[in-house]
Amino acid sequence: MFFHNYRYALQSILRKKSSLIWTLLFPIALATFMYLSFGELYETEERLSIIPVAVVSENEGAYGEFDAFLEALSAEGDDQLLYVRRLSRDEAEKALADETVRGVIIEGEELTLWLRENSVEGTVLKTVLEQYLQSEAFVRGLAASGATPQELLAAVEALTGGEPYYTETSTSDGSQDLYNNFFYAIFAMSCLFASFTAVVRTSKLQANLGALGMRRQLSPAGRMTMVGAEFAAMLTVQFAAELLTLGYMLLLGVEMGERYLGMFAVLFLGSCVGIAQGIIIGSIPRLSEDAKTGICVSISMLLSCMADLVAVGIKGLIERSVPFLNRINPAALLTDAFYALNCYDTPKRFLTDLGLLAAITALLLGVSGFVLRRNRYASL
Amino acid sequence: MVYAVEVANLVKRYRELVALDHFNLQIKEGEIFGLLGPNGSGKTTTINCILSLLSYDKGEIRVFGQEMRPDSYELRREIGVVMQNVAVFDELTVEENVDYFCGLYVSDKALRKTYVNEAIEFVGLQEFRKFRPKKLSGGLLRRLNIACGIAHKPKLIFFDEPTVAVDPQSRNKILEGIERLNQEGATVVYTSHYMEEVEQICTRIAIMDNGRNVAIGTVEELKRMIKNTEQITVEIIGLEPERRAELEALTHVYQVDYDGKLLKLSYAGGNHNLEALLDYLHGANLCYGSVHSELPTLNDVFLEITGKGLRD
Amino acid sequence: MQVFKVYFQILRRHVGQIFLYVGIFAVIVFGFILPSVDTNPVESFTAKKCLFAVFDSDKSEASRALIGWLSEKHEPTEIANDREATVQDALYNRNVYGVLRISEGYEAALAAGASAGELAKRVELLTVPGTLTGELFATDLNRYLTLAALSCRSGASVTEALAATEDALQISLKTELSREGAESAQSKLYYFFSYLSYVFAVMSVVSIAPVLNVFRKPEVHTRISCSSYPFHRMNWELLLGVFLTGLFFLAFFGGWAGIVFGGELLCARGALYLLNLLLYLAVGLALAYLVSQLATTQDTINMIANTISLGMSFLCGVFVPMKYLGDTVLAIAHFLPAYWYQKTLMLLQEDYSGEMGTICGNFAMLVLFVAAFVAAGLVAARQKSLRQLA
Repeated sequence: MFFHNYRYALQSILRKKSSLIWTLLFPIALATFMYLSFGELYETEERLSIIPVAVVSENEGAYGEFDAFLEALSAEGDDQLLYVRRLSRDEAEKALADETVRGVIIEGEELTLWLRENSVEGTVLKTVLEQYLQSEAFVRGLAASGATPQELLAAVEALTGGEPYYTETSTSDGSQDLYNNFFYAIFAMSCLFASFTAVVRTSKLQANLGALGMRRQLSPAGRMTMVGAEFAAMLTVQFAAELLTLGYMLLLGVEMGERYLGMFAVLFLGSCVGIAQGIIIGSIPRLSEDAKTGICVSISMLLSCMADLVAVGIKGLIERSVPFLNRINPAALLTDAFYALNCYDTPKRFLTDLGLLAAITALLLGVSGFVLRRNRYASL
Repeated sequence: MVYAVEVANLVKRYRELVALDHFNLQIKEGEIFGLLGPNGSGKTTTINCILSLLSYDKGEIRVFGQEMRPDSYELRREIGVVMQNVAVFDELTVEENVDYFCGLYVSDKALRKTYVNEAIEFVGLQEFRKFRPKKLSGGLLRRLNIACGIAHKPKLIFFDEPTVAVDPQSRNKILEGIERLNQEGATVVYTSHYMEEVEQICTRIAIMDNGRNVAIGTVEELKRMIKNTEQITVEIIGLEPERRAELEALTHVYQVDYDGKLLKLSYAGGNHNLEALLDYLHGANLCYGSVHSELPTLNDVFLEITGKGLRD
Repeated sequence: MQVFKVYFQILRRHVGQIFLYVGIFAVIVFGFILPSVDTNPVESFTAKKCLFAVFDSDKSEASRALIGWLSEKHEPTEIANDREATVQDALYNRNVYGVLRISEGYEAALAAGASAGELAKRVELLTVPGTLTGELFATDLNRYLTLAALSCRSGASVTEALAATEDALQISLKTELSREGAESAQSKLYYFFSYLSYVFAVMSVVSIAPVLNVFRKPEVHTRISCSSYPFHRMNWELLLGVFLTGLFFLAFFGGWAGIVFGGELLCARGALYLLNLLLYLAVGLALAYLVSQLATTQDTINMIANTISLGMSFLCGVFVPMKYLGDTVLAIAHFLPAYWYQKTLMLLQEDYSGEMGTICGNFAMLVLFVAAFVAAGLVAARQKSLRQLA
């Protein structure tokens, strides 16, 4: 009986071509647009990469040690910081204007740095070069105060040796790309949009919502078997769509880590939540299907926007002001689960998110089950 | 005796409105039972209560001797319903729809296949097996609706106005089909506000009004319940008012209506009323046009019992 | 005016969704974007500052001096605690770029002339390795520590060493911005209007397309065609309805902008902002018409509307500033109306007197998009009616 219902429900869903195509197409299209627009923003704007600079020598010989320092910074290797080109003033100016170099170092009367804009990269450049000047002055000061040559040598070594005076600790091995939130939010949105199908299917389940529901309710088939089969069919389609989207995003190169099983679990529960949301809204009597879809859209969009769909940082803002909202917003839980999966080594946070998602699903399904249980109605 | 359906003292209220008012009904096995009444008289409410779709305030409902409850699954297996509104999946073909609904009752695949084929043939949709409902005309859609309701060979079938908005050809096919189902052993409960249909196929009829069962019996029994046995209409112009008394004095006449053009005489009993009337007209030397005599219809029965027409 | 009346009766059912997007717009723009807009023009170089948090267990003169110096260079902030998860979240959400842990014994180690490795045991920086901000903060931290440690090693007392370190760190490199680098002030008006393009596109489609869809249903369409109501009149009334809806949107958001920005709008620049918006609005309405021809159900309309509006916003610099977008993306964006709308907005931020030609060109592009969407809609409608006849 379950399979009989499941098979036909699946067939019905798969034959609604336009809805099916859009269910699949819209997250994939959005992922494409997002990837095109900022997929590499983290790499290019936030990650440290070799900085191309131009050096203009206008005071031959006066900058011998500084040049050696530059050479050290631009030596090929893991910690290469600069890529240095020696240019004339005009060439350098032009190169800066069309961004083939990010800074110009003028070795003139005094050392000057030209930048094109106020950027973190420019500040890094300034800081690194400044450090040289400061070290030089420091050593000179030591010499003036009568330090021994050994001491001076040790100081120079310490200053240029590069052994850091602090321990750098990374809190995560995963991608720290904040823009990933956008991609996570696509999943949240598309999972919640599963409610559209659920609204339509639910209206065909209940006697007080339409003739079809009435006919089905009159059959000897168990009520929960039928609801369960409908749910399973919707879940099959939605989960498959989510998996395809996930596959597509991974192919695009969105860095979501490699914990695929965890991702499957999130998407599975996410699909469940979306469908359950649709079932509940769908079982409201005396409301047109369009009105119910409208409610679904509104809720889904609201929750997704609260989970960083249209501006990254909103979720963080909520976390700081009303963290409780993030614990009950399935969209936020879903994106957070993805983040935790990607960035946390310990599974606690991820499992908490998953647990909350499961609890919300169970709650929604429980209410749905209560609403949809076989019953006599006061009016039809 | 075990009735197919037994309703006792059923009361159903929608807030202030009393939809069923101590309604009683007994349907024997093997009958085609008609529920006749104007729109809003409570026919569909009765059926929905019997099917346990609606809750009711008071009363008892038994189907094949057993109490009918929302979870009476075994009982439901024996029941088929063809509802007023077409209830099929738009995304599934004719055959798939019938198979789906049949499958809710019959798990055996091989058996189901035969049932589905029989149902499709029964309603004459063989050529449309692969069609989606959207491609079917109104009449064909109704037939699909019927096929979905009866494919599992139920012993008790409810037809709730199955011929609304159906072309005459399809209507006849549907009515014939219902008679055939009955001949094959099914008890049929048929609601309609088309009295001709009910007269044509029903073995017994209950007339409903305002949620009450106002009369019950075979067509003949119902007609016998009322005073009127014949009505004769005469086209006659300029009848003097004093003639009315003479007309009223004719044997069996109990009512005379005249609107200046048509004279209507209502009779209670008598076998040769037309002859007697013509004799009177000739004797009084009155000129008249056409004359026709009508036997009472269910509408007259209804009119007389409730004081209003069936299709007001 | 029967059709006109019914248009608004149906539109009323979609008011909820209009409110939803107005709400989203209000929250994002006023709660989130505008507060962080820097309205000061950039004329000279200013070093970028990183948000950082410190957990100081040493609480010594030396540790306070280090924090003091870092606070001058960067921007100290607070996070709840230094548990790894808290720090990770703060780093990920860019609430901090570095979290410094100074353990007990820092000053003592310094005074003892500890080696780099020894000192590193006392000073821990939690950051995202390999990022520019992480590197910037780490470099500053390291240069301070290096100098302080060396001073101590050369025999100075901690106090002397700290003073010497800060002295040495006074030396700065002369840094200038090239002329193109100077940026004019960011205008709040720009962000308001920029974000509006997302809301307009999605709002127009989700509210208007379903209404037009009703009139396109074969049954309704045939019924109206059969009535004594002239066909062209139905179309005109629908057009009028759509037009009025658009005007309402314009008046609403224009009025809103007027209230918030006041005088800024009451000038030639403001007029151009509004004209730009008007044209973009026409694009939104035309798009709604096109979508109503392509999609038949409410859910597909919604998915199409969101894909188009979000997609355009990403590709055309609404959600991510255009300067960060790659050449390919910008090339694609040329085929989207939001790009031309956005271009004008960017020009209006600066001195646009010499750019009137370009601005008019952008306006013309928007008009072209309106024409293209309407034409595509008409073609789709024609195809559909041909299919129905066949």
